[in-house]
Amino acid sequence: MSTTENTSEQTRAARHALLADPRRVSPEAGATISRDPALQQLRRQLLEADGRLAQAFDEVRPAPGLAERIILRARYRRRSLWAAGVAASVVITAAALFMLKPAADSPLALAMLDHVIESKYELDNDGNVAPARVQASLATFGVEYRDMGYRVRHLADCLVAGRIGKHLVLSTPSGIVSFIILPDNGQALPKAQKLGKGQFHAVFVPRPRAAYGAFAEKNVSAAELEGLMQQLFVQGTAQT
Amino acid sequence: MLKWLRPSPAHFDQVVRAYSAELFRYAAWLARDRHRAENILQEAFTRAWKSWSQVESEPARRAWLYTIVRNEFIRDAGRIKARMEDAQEGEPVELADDIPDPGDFATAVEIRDLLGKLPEKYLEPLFLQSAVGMSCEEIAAIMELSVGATMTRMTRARMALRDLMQDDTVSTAKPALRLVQAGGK
Repeated sequence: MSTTENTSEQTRAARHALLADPRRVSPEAGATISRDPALQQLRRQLLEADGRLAQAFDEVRPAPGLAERIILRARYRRRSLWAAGVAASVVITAAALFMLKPAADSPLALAMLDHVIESKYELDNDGNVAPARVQASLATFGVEYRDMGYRVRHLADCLVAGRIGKHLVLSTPSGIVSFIILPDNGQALPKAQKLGKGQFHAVFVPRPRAAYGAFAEKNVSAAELEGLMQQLFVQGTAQT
Repeated sequence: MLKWLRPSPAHFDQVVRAYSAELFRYAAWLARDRHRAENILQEAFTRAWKSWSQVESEPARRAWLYTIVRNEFIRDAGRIKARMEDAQEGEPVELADDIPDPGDFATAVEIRDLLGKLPEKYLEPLFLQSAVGMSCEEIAAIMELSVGATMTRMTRARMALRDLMQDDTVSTAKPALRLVQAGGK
């Protein structure tokens, strides 16, 4: 096989690998992609498309209290319907009251970005945190974390603008990205925005019960940061 | 730090709270009906609880739950559980150099409608990878396919979606199928 034919075959194999799974490619395919701008472009398109797909799939959400109904039915099937009904209604009411709470304040996005810049040395750490630990940690904020197969390098509580939130650092196909999630503290949240400082930039997205920020160096686009947030964190609709 | 305990009611509760939302979405996209999806999920977790001690590791439990939901969906539909290997999977796939810009589809609803037109055999692996983040190996285990067939199916799924996007771009017709409505809307 000639060199040209060999290269063509490698390109075809890499394209096939990307279409099968743009997040996980073999080292061989990865090397071919790194040499081919068209394949890099295809990968970016596929990752962005996957973010949109994930958002569309998320449009279908369970009614409040699903987990409690499942638990009641699976574990306490013999309990009276009355008891189950009361328990479920308490859960639904609590969820509704929780969602009705208003939300937070304005220099918040900048404070989040400052926190990431101040703790940028955490980007060098790689604790290889188990996804189950992230899921359990974020569940305390009512946030569902979806394990997309990205390596979680860092997970810790953080103090930003007087709120204790969660700081995650992930290795993604776009690069190393930090996320900060701050719980609602009852004040109005600023609108979704993009901001930058030094070599970092950020996308800030308010949601009903928490403020989300994604942060990376400027080689990662804002669209990629938004796509990652949509993929990784499931909660209420953005308040934009 | 969360400790995944040995099988216990508390552990069951933890797992239900961690995974019920994503499993509901899976069931809803399979069944294309949110009420049926909740019934499938209820029954699946009831079955899972009865066999809870059979699974020890958490990554395995997640995949196990997906398998139970899938089986429950098939049972619910009155289908015979058959190997879903497609005889045509071995045929060569025409690969595109690019895909349409998803930004052309302004809303999630438009994309959702396109997804509703995808055949089930393509929709399911696309959901498991794009929305759940599973690898081809994990999808292969759940769908009872070989890894190679799964990779080919993923490729076909993306190409089919691409074709639908192109068709939709040139067509002014409204989508024929409306998928299940978002929860609480």
